[in-house]
This record gives sequence, C-alpha cells and structure tokens, in this order.
Amino acid sequence: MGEMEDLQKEANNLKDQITAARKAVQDSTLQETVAGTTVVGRVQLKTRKTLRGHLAKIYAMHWGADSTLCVSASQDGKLIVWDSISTNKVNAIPLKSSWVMTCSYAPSGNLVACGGLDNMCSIYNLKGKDGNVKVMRELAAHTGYLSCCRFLSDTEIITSSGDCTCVLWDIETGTQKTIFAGHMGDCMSLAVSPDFNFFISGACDFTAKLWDIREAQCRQTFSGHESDINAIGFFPNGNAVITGSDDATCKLYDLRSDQELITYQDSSIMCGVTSLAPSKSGRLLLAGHDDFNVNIWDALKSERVGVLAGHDNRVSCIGVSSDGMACCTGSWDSFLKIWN
Amino acid sequence: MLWELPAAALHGNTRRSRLLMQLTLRFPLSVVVPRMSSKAHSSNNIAHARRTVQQLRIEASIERIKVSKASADLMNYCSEHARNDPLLMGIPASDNPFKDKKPCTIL
Repeated sequence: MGEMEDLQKEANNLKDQITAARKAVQDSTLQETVAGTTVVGRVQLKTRKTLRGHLAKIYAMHWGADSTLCVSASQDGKLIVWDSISTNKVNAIPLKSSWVMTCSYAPSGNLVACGGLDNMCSIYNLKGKDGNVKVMRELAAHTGYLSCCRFLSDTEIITSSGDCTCVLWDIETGTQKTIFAGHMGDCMSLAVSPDFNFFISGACDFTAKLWDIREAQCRQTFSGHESDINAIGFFPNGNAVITGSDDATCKLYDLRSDQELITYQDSSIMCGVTSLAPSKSGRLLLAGHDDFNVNIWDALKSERVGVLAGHDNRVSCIGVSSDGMACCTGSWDSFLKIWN
Repeated sequence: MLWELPAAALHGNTRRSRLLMQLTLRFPLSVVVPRMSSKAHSSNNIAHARRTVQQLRIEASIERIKVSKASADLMNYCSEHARNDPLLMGIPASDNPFKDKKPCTIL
C-alpha cells in the first residue's frame, strides 16, 4: 500500500528530526553543570508515626493540601482519612469494590476519590450535611482498570487507566470532557503540573507523555526506560518530570530541552520502583521499591544519600506533604509510616 | 508492530494478569478479543499511522532550550529553595509537629 509506506517513511523522518533536535541543544550535561556542587550529607529520617488500621495491603495514599490529613486506600475495601499528627482516623469509608488501586484528596479538602479493577472512579463527599460520607459520583467509561486519579478542583478530575487512555472528567455531570489517547500500553500513573495546565502520564509502553489539558493534546513523549513506568511526578518548579520504572531506575526528563538529563540507578538496586516523590526543593528524590525500602537520592548529583527501611513488605506508595515537613509511605504490610 | 516498540510493551494483558494475581482473585475473568475483518484491520492501520504522523509532527515542532540552561535552572531552583526544605535541612525538635513531645519532670 503506497500510503502506508509514505506514512511510515514520514514517521521515521520525523523521529530522526526529533532525535537531531534534541542532540542539537546538548551543549552540556546536568552532571557537568553540577560538578562544582557537593553531594548532600547523609539523610536519616526517622519514623515519627505509624498509622495502623488497614487490614490488608495498602495500594495508594495521597496527602491533603493542609499537610496534616491524608487518605489511604487498601485491599481491605476501605478508604481511610487520617490525621497524621494525632494518628486518629477522621473517616473510614467502606468501598463497593475492594479492588482499589488509587486514591486522591481534592485540593479543597472536600472530596476524595478512588478506583481500581471496577474500572470506575468513585467520588466521595467528606463534608456532606448529615456528616455521613457518601458516594457523590461514579465516573464510569474506562474499559480498563483505574490506575491513578488526581483532582484539578472539586469539579474536575483526571484519571489514568489500563485501557491505555487518560480522561478529564466533569464531576458534576459525570461525563468525560476529554479523552487523552496515545499510549500503547496500560497507563499506570499520572501527575498534574503545579500550574494545573499540564499533566504527565507514565505507561506500560515504557514512555512518559506530557499533555496540555485545555488544548487536549500530547505535547511531548519521553522514552528511555526499559520496562513499565509505575510512578511519575513533577519536579517542584514544573520544568522537569521524574519517572520510576520496573527496570529499577528513576529518570529525570527536562521539559524545555525535551530530553532525559539523568538516570538514578545503582547496581545494587534490582527491584522495580513502585512510587516516588520529590522533596519540597526538589533536591531529594524519594523512591519506593519492591524490596520493601525507600531510597533517597540527591536529585542533582544522582547519588544515594539515604534509605528508609521500616516496612515488612513492598512500599506501594509515597508522598511528601505540600509544606515539605513529612514523607508518608504506605505498604503491603498494611501500615502507613510518617517520616521526617 | 509499526515503529520499533519493544514487543513486551504491547502486552498490557501481562501487566493486567500480574495485577490480578497480586490481588488474590477469587473469580476467573475472561478477556474477550474482538475479531476484525482484514479490510477493517488495514484501514485501522492507516488511520493509526496517520494519527502517529500527526502526533510526531506536533512533537517535532516544539522549541527546545539548551541543556546547559535547563540544568542551571534546576540547580538554581534547588539552591534557592533549600532552606525551605525541611527534609533536606532537618527539623528542630521544637518545630516538628510529628515528633512526640516527651513530658518534662521539674525537679
């Protein structure tokens, strides 16, 4: 077929163009730029709180915007909202489906969301009139499991799915506003930019994609990982993206130079990355692994500067509060730990 | 497959089945794969190829800044915000809301 060959040729030309354009701006490396900087000193964080109450594996956690409340989701079929300072359970929400894989706290603090193998994103109102927490909406349209969800506001949420798409939903009407298609494998994770104009997704096609939310367009695609990308996050200034993969490495991709700047890897680390979170300044990168540990990296110098060892099973989720005061880890051992 | 994707990347089902095993599934799930006629298949391929080219055009057209500038900006951001990064700087016990305050005995 003539057209097919032409299209394939043009695609190959464009890919070569992109490779050349990326090389053309490689006047240096991150390593050279930070050569004069000293590695940060050893980081030793202690477990300050252990949040006990879940009866099975914890799959996800997310901090509330007040840096005190956080929500966790477990295979025991519960969403628990915790006061991380007192360790009290503020809400314990029973779920229709116990196969939950993700949860999210709305920036307002009014709503939480979760979803998983039921292919739906369920929105719960924490501030209902009679004090009971009820399902406010069930967002159903994905044809695959819900891997991640993040609120833009009380009226909009973005989801990523095993059906290889991400979706922007109107919560009030329960409808899809935009479908972001392009990944060639299950979407596993997403993160929203600090200015709320973009989001990034990591998938089982080993790539990360940057999406313009309002233009409904994929702007950039980043490759390099040798296996599924399980975790993704923005560097605090919104100009770089950090990914964590089953290939046991994390990578930092710069958005404005459109390329990978650094890989965080060590021959002694052989387990996949399940979750990641940068510290408030971006200098530290915390990465949770299948081997029950969290590795702490100097993000600029790409050297390991600490380990959080305290869980008795895989660390499945991690988050740094927005005021930067604490890191929370969730594990298959059913506990959440607060570290600083 | 069309353009150099690692074969494993196509198998979302592998990821799905690993997830299902981890979640101690009690009931077997069946996966239905629709069968397409060869004509529908080839026009699907062309549509997919057109979309891929369109997407690559968008990605090829973006402006890129020099890596030296990008790296310097990352480094500067880190140093400007270092002192406001509690996990990096350490938190004095008196300022740490998560640290249990030990009761004091006045002798």
